[in-house]
Amino acid sequence: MNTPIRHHGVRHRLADRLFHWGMAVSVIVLGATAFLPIVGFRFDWVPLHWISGVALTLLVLFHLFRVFFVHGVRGMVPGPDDIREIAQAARGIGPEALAEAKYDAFQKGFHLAAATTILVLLVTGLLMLAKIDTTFWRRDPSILSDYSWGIIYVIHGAASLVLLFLFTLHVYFALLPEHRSFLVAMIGGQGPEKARKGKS
Amino acid sequence: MELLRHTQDAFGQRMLVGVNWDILWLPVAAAAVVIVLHLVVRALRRAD
Amino acid sequence: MTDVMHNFELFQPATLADAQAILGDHEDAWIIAGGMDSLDWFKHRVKQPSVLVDVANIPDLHGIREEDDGGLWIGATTTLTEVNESEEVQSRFPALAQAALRVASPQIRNKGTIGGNVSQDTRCTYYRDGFPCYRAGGNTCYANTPTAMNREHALFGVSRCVAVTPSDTAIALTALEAAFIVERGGNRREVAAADFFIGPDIDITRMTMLERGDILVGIRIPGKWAGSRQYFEKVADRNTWDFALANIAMAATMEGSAISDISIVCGAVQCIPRRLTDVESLARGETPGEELETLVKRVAARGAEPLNFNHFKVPLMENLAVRAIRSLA
Repeated sequence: MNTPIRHHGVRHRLADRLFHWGMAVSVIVLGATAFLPIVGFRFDWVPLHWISGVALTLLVLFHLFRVFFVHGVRGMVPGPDDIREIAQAARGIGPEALAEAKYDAFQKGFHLAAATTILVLLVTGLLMLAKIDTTFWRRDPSILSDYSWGIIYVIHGAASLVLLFLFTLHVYFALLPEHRSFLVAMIGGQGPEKARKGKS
Repeated sequence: MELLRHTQDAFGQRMLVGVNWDILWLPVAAAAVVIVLHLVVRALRRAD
Repeated sequence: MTDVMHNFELFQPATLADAQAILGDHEDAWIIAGGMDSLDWFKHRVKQPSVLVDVANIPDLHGIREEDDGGLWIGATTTLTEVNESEEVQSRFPALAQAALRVASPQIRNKGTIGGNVSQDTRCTYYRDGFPCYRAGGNTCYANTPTAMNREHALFGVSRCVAVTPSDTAIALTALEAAFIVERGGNRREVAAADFFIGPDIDITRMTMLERGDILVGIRIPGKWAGSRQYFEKVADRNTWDFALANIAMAATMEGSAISDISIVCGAVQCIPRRLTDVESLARGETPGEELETLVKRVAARGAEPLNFNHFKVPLMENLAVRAIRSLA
């Protein structure tokens, strides 16, 4: 977790920051419209929920475009050094003899977990749009049997609980004083270019 | 504690409908546990 | 399919306090009075509560009495026949008397109570037949699919569920701006009709704000509309023992030949009684006649979103609104 900082410069470009905060707003609206009615706050949550879901889908598509055509995928894919970094952290020592990287092992791990969860939510959620009447299509739940829908709802619900867990942790770690530079970088763009120092 | 919700279909058969929302506290509690553990480890390392 | 009822424990308290104590002791308790809605559920074995609390014999919940402001208080277990035959109701609120008369059949009106009539569950056939729809705790509305039979269903306020309010008296009471007196654990509160009936956007499993443990004690109709010009009309497939395809209730006061104030509500087109605020705004200060009728017809069903088989409800609703206004001429 103690990530040494060097190479101060542009960490996140404007487009990526806009994606991050756009996703944050969508996820918060999705979470609020999903969970508040369950805990007793009654309101018409369905339109807000599915519209935010569609907005999040568009943001994720934009992000995927940036990943594949601007940044490249490698920066966020965990490698052997990330496993070493986790092992070192578990032994209570700081990262040693590791290749420098924009994201450390924990950031990559969180991203992998969050991305998988959100993709599962989006795929199951987009299927559920078959149950919504819009200008573009009429609802038709008969595309799947009741039993298949049950499984879709279980996956969607379980993924939403996992995302609630990840979201809570993300907010906590983002607010830690030692991670402030990352939070500042996500707001203004300037910050540590590398979250993990190079080979020593 | 039931993890899933079931209902009966029109023929009286048990049918899966979703996650049991009574476990909504679980991810929040799990996150709280991780946060507390992290704070403890962080404090101990700083003390060394 | 009708079957024998399940086993349950029956309580018949003599006082409101006893009823509340029983409700406090049994989370699963189901309140019954006339049983005209409840017994259907039990015979179809869709709902199987383990405890029944029969409130029909509690004197505090029964009867009709005059209020100081010229209005009436009607106990929740007052039968629909008693409401219809009451001279006070007939003279002050004829729309309610008419609505009570148009409920089902004489036998049902003799047993059925006004409290039960306003708080009964929807008559969506898919829901009543035990389909695991949203309202029943499932994941789908079976009445709103490309092939569903939905001629009785909603034109407005659809939010996943397309069921409509089946109550005739609820429409009249909403037009008369009645308040519903609800008691829970000794605390009594008055709930306006606009808040008493709730749509699927608020809670998809209930038709009213009544929750487990709540007892509907009575209904207070304010004196505001007492003796005003009133109208009630119901259209159903059969003239007796049938639920409305659409119904309308209106109360209006006149100044000379012009309408000074009006309250008009349409039923069976939405999950809650639908107040026709556009018609009200249009009619206030106007003189009933052909011109007003033409305008009323244009706005009465504005915003309707018909399903596959209920487009006919749009002209039905428009014509009912016109006929209500015409009655003032």
